[in-house]
This record gives sequence, C-alpha cells and structure tokens, in this order.
Amino acid sequence: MSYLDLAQTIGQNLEELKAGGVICTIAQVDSIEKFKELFAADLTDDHRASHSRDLFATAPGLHHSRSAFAGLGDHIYGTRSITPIDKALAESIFPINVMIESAHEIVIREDVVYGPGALPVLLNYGTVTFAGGSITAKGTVLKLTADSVHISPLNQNTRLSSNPYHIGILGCDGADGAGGTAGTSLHDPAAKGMDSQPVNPDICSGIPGGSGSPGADGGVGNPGTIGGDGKPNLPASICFGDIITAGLPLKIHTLSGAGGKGGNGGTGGTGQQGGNGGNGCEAGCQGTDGGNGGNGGRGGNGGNGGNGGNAVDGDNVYVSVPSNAVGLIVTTSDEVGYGDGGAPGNGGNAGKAGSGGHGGKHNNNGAEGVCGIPGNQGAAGLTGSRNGKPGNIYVTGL
Amino acid sequence: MNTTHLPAEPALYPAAGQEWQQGIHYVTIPTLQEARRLFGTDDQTSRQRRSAAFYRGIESRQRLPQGMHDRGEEYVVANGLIHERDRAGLNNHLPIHVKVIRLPYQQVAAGQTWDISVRHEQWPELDYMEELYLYLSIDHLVLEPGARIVVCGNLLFSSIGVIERFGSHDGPVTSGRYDIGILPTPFSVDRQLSLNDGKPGISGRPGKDGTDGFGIAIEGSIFGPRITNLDADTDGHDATDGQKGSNGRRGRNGGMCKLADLRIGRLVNFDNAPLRIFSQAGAGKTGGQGGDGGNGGNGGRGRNGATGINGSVPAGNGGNGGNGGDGGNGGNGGNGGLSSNIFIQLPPEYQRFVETMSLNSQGGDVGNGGNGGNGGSAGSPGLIHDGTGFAQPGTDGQSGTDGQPGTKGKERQGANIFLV
Repeated sequence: MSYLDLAQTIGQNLEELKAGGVICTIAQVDSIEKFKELFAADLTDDHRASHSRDLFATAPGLHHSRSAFAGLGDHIYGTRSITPIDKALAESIFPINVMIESAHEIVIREDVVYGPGALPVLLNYGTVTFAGGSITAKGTVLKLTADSVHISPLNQNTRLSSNPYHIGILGCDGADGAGGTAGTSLHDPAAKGMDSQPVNPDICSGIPGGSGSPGADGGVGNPGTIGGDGKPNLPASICFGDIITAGLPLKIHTLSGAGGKGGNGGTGGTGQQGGNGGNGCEAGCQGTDGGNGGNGGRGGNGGNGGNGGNAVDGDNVYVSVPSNAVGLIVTTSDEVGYGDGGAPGNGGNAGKAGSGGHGGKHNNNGAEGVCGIPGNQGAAGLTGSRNGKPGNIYVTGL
Repeated sequence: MNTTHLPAEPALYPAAGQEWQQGIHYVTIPTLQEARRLFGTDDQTSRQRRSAAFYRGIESRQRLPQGMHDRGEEYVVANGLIHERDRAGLNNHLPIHVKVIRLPYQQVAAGQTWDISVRHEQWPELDYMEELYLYLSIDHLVLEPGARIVVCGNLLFSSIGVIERFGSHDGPVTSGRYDIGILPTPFSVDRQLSLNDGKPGISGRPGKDGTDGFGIAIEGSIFGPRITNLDADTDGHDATDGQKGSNGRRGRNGGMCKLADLRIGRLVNFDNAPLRIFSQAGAGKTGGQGGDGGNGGNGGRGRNGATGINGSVPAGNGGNGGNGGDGGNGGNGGNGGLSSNIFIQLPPEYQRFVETMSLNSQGGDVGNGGNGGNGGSAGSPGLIHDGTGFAQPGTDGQSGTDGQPGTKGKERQGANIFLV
C-alpha cells in the first residue's frame, strides 16, 4: 500500500500532503483487527512464524505486560487465531489512541525519539531522507513505512547523530532504586538528673545531684529500594518500497532494557546526647556534689543497599524491503546487563556525653559521661541476576 | 596603681600588744575572736554606735544565709555576739583569709587608682565565692590630685592615721569622681542561678517539608502506555510546624559590695576639698534573647496526573506549608547587687570634711523576644492529565508570633554610710 493509500484509509487530507504538508493525528482505533491492519499488515508469513516461535522460546513472566498481552500480540504479529478470551480482553482495552504522522517528503536531520511508553506510533512517509539524524522508539510500538528511503552522504555541514544508527528500537532501563533515608536521630539530649534540693535555706540533705540519663541509640538507616527491572523494546514493523543510499548502509539497531541499580542504604542516625547531671545542693554554706553526666548513645547502623534489578529480553523487529536492498540493511544489537547492588549506608555518629552537674559550695562538679560509639556500616546490595538478550531483527526481501 | 601579689608566706599575725610587720602579708586568722582583736577598734563606745546602726537597711536579709555573715561581721567590727545558731555555719568559713597592707607612708600619684583588692588566685584552694578580707593600716596616706583608692568586693577593715590631700580636687563626689571607692565583686554572688544565665534561648528546629506525591509509573505496552500504580497517591503531603524557640535565661545579679570599716585619725587639707567616698553595687546583667521560632516546612508537591490504557490517576494537590514556631520570650534582667553598710570613724572636728554618695544598684536590661519563624510555602499542584489545568495548590503556613521581652531587673538599695 502506498503512503497516500494509507493516508486515505486513515482519513488524512491528501491534497495537503501532496502540497508538502506534514499531518500528525491522534487517531482512535476501535478494534484489534484495525490495529493489526495499521501496524502489522506488512509482516510476511516468515515474520509471523518467527514471532510465534520466538514468543514461546522466551521464559514466561519476565515482563508482565508481555504476559498479559502475549496472546493478543501473537495475533497481531504472529500466527495465533483470536480466542474468545483474547476477544474479551481486546474489548476491555479498545478503543485506544495512536499517533499517526504522514508526509509526502520528510528529512531527518535531528534525533527524533518516541517514548518511553508513548502511544503506538505510525510514521507514513512518501520519501524519508536520513541526513544526519535518527528515529528512535523507546518502549513504544513503531510502524515505519515509506515508499522510498534515502540516506544522504555526510558532509561538513551535516550534523552528526549522537546515535550509531538510523532507526533504533529500544527498551527502557529499570529505574535506579531510591536511597534509604537516614535513621532517626534524637536532637534533644536525654533527661537531666534531678537537682538536689535543700531541706531548708540553710541545710542540705547530703544527697548529690542525680545522674543524667543515658542517651538512646540512633535509629538504623533505612535500606535502599531494589533497582527496577528493565522494560523490553516493543515490536516494530519497518517497510520500505525503495532504498537509495549511494552505497551507504541503513543501520537498524535494537537493545532491550537493563536492570536498574539498587538504592544506597541510608546513614544510621546519630546517638542521643547523654543527659546532664543534676546540680548539687546549695544551702547557706553547705553543698553536695553534682551528679554525673549520662553516657552518649550509640550511633545507628547503616542501612543495607538495595539489590539491583534484572534485565529483560527484547521483542523482535520486522523489516520488509525490496530484495535488491536487503544487502543495504545493517542490523546491530547487544545484550544488556543487570543492575549493581546499592552501596551500604554509613554508620551513624556516636552520641555526645552529658556534662556533669554543678557541685554545691565546697563540693565537686559531677563527672562528664562517656561518649557513645559510632554505628556499623550496612551491607551492600546484591547485583541483579539476569542479563537481557536483544530481540531478533528479521529482514525479508520482497 | 595596683598592688601586685607577693608569694603567700606562712606569715603569722601579731599577738596581743604586738604590731603588724610592715609590708603586704597574706594570712589566715583561725577564729572570729582573733579577728575582732586584730581588725576592730579598741573604742567600745564607737563599737556600740556601730551596733546601733548596723542592721539599718539590711533587716530583711537577716532571715537569709547572708544574715549569719552580717551577725559575724557585727561581732568583729561592732558590739555583736556570736549566736549559737550561727556557730556551725560560721565555722565553715574559718579560718578567714586576709590580705594585710601595713605601711608607714603611702602616696598615691596624680590620676592613679590604687586597687587594693584581693582575689582568689591568692588562695587557689578556696571556692571563688568565699569571703576575702582586707586590712589596710597606713600611718600617713597622701592623695595627689585625681588619685583614688578602690576595693572591689572584699570586706575592708582600715586604720589610717592621717590622710593628706596634695592640691585640690576636681569637684563634688559623683559616680566617676571620688577618693575612696567601695565597689562590688566582679562576679555575682547569687548561687541560685547557673553559670549560663543571660544566655540566649535556643532557636526552634525547622519543620519538616511535606513529602511529594507519589509519581505515576508508566510502562509501554503494545497498545500504548499502561499505568502500573493506579492507586498512587499523587497528593503532596502537609509539612510540619516549626518548633517554638526557647526562652532566654535570666541575667545574673550584679556583684555585691561588702562591709567597710574606715577608721581615720586626721584629715589634712580637706577644708575646701572634702574627702569623697562613693559606693554602688554592680548592675544586673542583661537577660538573654529568646530563641527564634523555627520556620515551617514547605508543603510537598503534587504530582502530575496521567491516563493509560488501563485507567487514569488524577493530578495531586499541593500540600500545606507548616506554621512557623513562636519566638521564645526574652529573659529577665538580673537584679542589682546587694550592699552591706559602711562605717566611717573620724573625730568630730573632721566629720564636716567628708562627702559621701551611695547609689542604688541598677537592674539589668531585658532580653528581647525571639522572632517568630516564617511559615512554609505551599506545595505546588500537579498538572491534570489532559493538560487543561492544575490541581489545587496547598496553603502557605502562618508566621509564628514574636516572643515577649523579659522584665527589667530590680534595683537594690545602696549601702548606708554611717559616721560614728
């Protein structure tokens, strides 16, 4: 189907397109069959057989939406016939919105990114020319169709893309875990010892000032959260009527999502300062000793680092080009790794000692308490356990 | 001119009928009876006149521990008795520690201040508030123009044969113009208050910021964005209030003027330029400033709303800012220092050549109240998923009120000065 035919099917203004306009529409798709027609009509039988075969080769449960929509996806991109359960699920999802962009001629000079997690994107061009830029779909379904694709030679005026490809079908890395918050610290010192009170204005009881209370220990630092699992790239369909490259390859790349790093453990809380000793008695010319200060509390232990997330395998990319253009397609992919564990949190500071209470006349001040000890460091988080393989890029000559 | 310390010698005090050795000595006297013999007048009539006036102006403190000291001093310099109820308490202060200045002649140079005070560095083993005594015995004392003698916070016994003025003086007695100054201890003698008096209050801790709303997690699917946490609470949370500032501490009381017993035999050249005697106890210290209230925390931010293929989450409202804490009250000023009485024994023909001034001690200034803390800012709202507007912002916190100033310290009556 030519780009104009597709544009007409969608209901876009053909005259505007022929005049050089670019029409971008958020369109509502009513059914799964319509979605299949828009996004997977160009897949060959071999593509479909590959999709169904590769789907069951992937360990189930790695990606929840894949497992939730695996059957529907197999109907769209594979060989599965829709079942009543599939039909009911589809009816609960549709209608959905998709983004459709059509243009008679478009030049890609910049790096254009769709996603992550955007509406399904259908790019419908008469001629698309890559002149230093790239198109990337990140965690987003892509259908790219063009009657003709050109690759311009790079010259001194061409802005080089930061990407090593013309078309990238990528997943999303898992989010790094959040750092654990610090353990609690009590800012006010522990209770002061009781002051020794006189029996009357001239006579002390002989009782010294009370000892200050010991400081409480600082709270344990909270653990870092686990790194998120990577999200896979979603299926893509690429169909070109003709490729004109002046000998330059058209590079298509795919990469799934890596695991996120675990969050760092939180720092342990500071130990509480010991309470000051109570003052000794003062009455007339008599007095008693001041009370001793309380010991400082221990610093809290640091929190453990969060575990790293796992990577996930990617979905396939299906490319249809003229037979004589298959050799112009260069595909690249790479495995992605799991996330590192988060760093351990540091132990909290020791609490300060409380001061001794003031001694009464002719008597001694109380002794200062003993400083607490710092908390221990937490444990480092474990790394994730699974790498993520890229999806297959199937290039078929028509 | 200040007297410098001489090393403490194991000096002995003279027995009955003997004289003090000339020079400066630091001695301890074991009993009040010996102190009475060594430092009080031999004139019994004069002692009785002292006793008749001894408690004027200081009656109210006789029920306090200071009253025990007054009664002991009356025994030494006037005609008092050692009361049985005071005996144990007085014994705690024995032996008494005395700086003795025994000179045949002393001339204080023009414009110079001769500070004869003794401090506790002379006896490091003593509590810093222990009473210290001065005995000044000079046969012939000369004051050049502008010269003065001061004693700061020591109990003074003096016996001066002749005081002679060289030249004239610069005018009547004032707080800045005198020949003999009975001045206060350089420290407060009130043990009821801690050493931290006059300290400012502690500022209140700031409130904690409200946590931001929970962000919506979206992942891609074949059919478009899918929200993985439909139950996310996107509202920003309220902040907590700032803590109240603590009150400033009371200022310490002013230093105390101790009893002075001045025995003078003769005045020379004071006809048109009287002997000026001044006394005023120390001013109370300023109360500490109240601590500032802590600022209220800022309200948490509301998060944006979103719509996915599996439902919508509304945009979150912003959280309210916390109120600022109130400022603490300022501390009261310390009271002016106390004064004991001053006795001047002088032959009647010279009494008209004495001019005295005794001022009340001033109360300390108030500490100002601390500032109220600022209210925290309202949290911003999230954007509604279709971009049509924002959810509701929070409200700004209120500022805390400023603390109140303390009260001024009390004035205290100055020393009564008696010619006996």
